[in-house]
Amino acid sequence: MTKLSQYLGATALVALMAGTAGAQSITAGLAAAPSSMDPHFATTGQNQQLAAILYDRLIHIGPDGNFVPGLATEWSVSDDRLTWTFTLREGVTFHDGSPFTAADAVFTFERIPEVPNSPAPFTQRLAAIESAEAVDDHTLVITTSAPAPGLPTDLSTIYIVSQNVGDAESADFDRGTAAIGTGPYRQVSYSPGENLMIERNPDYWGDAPDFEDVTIRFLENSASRVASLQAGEVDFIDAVPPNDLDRLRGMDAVTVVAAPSARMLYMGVDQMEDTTIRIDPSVGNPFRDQRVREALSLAINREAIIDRIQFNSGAPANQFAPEGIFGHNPDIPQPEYNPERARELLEEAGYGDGWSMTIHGPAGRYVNDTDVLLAVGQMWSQIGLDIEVENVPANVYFGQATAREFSAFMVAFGITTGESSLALRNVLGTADEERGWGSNNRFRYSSEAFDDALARAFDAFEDDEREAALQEAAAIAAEDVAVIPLYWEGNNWAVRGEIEFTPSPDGRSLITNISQR
Amino acid sequence: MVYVIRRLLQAVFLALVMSFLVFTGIFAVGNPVDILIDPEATQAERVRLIAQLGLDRPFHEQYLIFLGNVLQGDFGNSFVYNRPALGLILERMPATLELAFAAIVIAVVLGIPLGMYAGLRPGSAGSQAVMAGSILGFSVPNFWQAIMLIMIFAVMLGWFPVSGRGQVGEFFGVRSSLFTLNGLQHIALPAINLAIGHLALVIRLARSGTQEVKAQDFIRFARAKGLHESRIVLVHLLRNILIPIVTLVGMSFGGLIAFAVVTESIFAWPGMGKLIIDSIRQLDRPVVVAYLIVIVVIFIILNLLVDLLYSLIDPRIRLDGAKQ
Repeated sequence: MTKLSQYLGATALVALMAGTAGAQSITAGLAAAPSSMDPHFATTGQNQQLAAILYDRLIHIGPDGNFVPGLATEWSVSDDRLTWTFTLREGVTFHDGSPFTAADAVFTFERIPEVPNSPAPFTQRLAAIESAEAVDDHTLVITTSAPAPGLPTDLSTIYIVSQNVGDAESADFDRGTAAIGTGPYRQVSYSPGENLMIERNPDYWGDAPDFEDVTIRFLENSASRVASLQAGEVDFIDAVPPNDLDRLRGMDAVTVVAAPSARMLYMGVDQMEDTTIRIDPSVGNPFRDQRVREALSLAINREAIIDRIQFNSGAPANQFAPEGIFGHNPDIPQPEYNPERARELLEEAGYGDGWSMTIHGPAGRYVNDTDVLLAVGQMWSQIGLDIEVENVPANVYFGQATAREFSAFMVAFGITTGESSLALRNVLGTADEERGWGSNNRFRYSSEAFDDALARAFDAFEDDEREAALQEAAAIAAEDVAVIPLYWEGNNWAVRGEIEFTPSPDGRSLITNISQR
Repeated sequence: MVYVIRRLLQAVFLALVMSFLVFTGIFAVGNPVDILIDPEATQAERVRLIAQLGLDRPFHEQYLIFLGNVLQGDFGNSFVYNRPALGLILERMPATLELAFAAIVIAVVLGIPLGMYAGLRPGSAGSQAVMAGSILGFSVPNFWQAIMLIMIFAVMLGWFPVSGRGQVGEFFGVRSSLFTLNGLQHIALPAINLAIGHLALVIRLARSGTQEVKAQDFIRFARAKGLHESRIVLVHLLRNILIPIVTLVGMSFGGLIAFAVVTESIFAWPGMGKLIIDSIRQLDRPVVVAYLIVIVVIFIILNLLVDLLYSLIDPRIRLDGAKQ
């Protein structure tokens, strides 16, 4: 070795030892960078998973998916179900040392509609609120114009900021001057697309985090994310590509943490009219026949897809909400793989000779998505259909899907709110612009019974009633084979050394879930 | 001077044509709404957002509004970040510039001597090794090189960091990671990755130039005059092979700034390349259009500089429009 390389080798080694020995500070490599550090800018997952460690909500979601006290210690609703009273936690201070009071909550509610030009604003989550009033420092009263059973869910994603933020713009949160929350960590510095430095909040009201300083680096390229972990430059990474799982599991210093996500991939099949765009009109639209949809579902070998294409990451799906998400229906049967029965059903429906069509999917949006679509095409060919497979770049694909240019196509929907109502409303509800239902129902499934059950869920005030209605809606959709479910994508994280990671039900990569072993 | 002004006017015209082409192209690709808007949003929310982003208007209206704003120096706000598109780009430009600069320095400082050596001693084993290496250099795909560099020098040997931009130092008011040791360590692998292809080209040009020039009369006269070999090579020969290399370096530099996308994303280098690829993916139209206009301007300026340099290196070359 030359002198220079010896020197470089030595510095790298020192850096490596400093990284692991102290463990008071860790470095995390996240795949997705936020669009802003303003916790009220966008509801996207990458923004919220950072907001959640810097800012508290009035109500938090516990590890089992239930509501637990956050900045509000208790809450109750009046008999007419229009007035909610929240008792706020005492002795909480913001990162700038000022005390947290009800006025800060009111300020937050007022600020959210003022955040301009967000592509995914939080306003919808405050839509139920008519007025919010700070009765005293630790009592907050919220009035709604109509009974709003979803209010606690909505409030569990509203990040409370200090009223000292004033009229700060989103850019002031990036600079850090406005980043004043009450969360377990506080923001030290942020460099867009590069890194975020945070440090422990010594005055945190809850359990103090294990680490003094955390550097979060945004490493979008999966190969370099994995290499950074291997080289010991980062201690934690998320979105491990399934192809690398076996290799990482084989390394002594690395532990892989896997959990199914609430993101279901499915094949949507056009059920709107008697003909469909990608099938010859003389054939008609076979997807209107429930037996055909059932046959298409029976033809898919989900275990094989997960085993071979997803490298054992993920689980076969039968509904949008996996176990642990509110609205999951445990009585819906597991999807079956039975190509013989599928062929019989096609015969019964009068499509014994099959038909020709092109099926579509995005390229590069989901893990190994092009291979999955290819496999689906082959499985459908095996029951006698003549299938062509076409993958479209993701930025073109979704526009075309919405414009209904496909007959059978692959999409995913991820639940981020801990319950299934929005998935059911937007994907399976009868498309109706005025009512605001079915905005993602690109295949135009429509069932009165389903819509009724779901409407009941939106009106239900008691959790039991709401859950029963959501479960009923999920059962109707499964019975109808409204979509052909494929699988819930797997979430994979990897940690290095003496730290561990506990996944939460929303599948986010929360730094607060990393702890010392 | 007239010449320079005329070239700059051409630049404005080119930028205008470019903006129209890019705007049309990205409009044809599709509507960003389906990618940008939260799938959990209600229909009313979607309609409101589409109107807010101006995406409900017909194409010509959108383009004219855009053009009107550009004339006032406003390239529009990014759909994704809600920040001025031009600001987002300029903020990331220094990182890209320093990377491109480091790569060009590597390519020139190694490429010219190696190429001249290969040209002066064509049969030797060393020069054959250099030429074989140069073929390898521009035929091996860039992303593969990048991953190999990471695996060998960062993961296995641990000499360099895997990715990211290191500490940034300040020198005469310029902030760059080239001024700190930590920064240099971080820039080494991505700069080498970017440089390899161009290094190979510089070697080939320097070699063929050397072979051509060394046979010419003035070199023989120089020898006959008894000049020292080093002066012949370093002054008379070098100066005469530089023209094609300057062209290549000028154009390469533009290319490196504009299209370092692969290297930047693999090495998590926070430059413009990463920004542009994300923006294309999300159809963030204002950023894509502003970026390409910035690139057009950079290319035009580089072209101009290259032409001006020609006349310095070789006074026989006269600029078009200058007095004959």
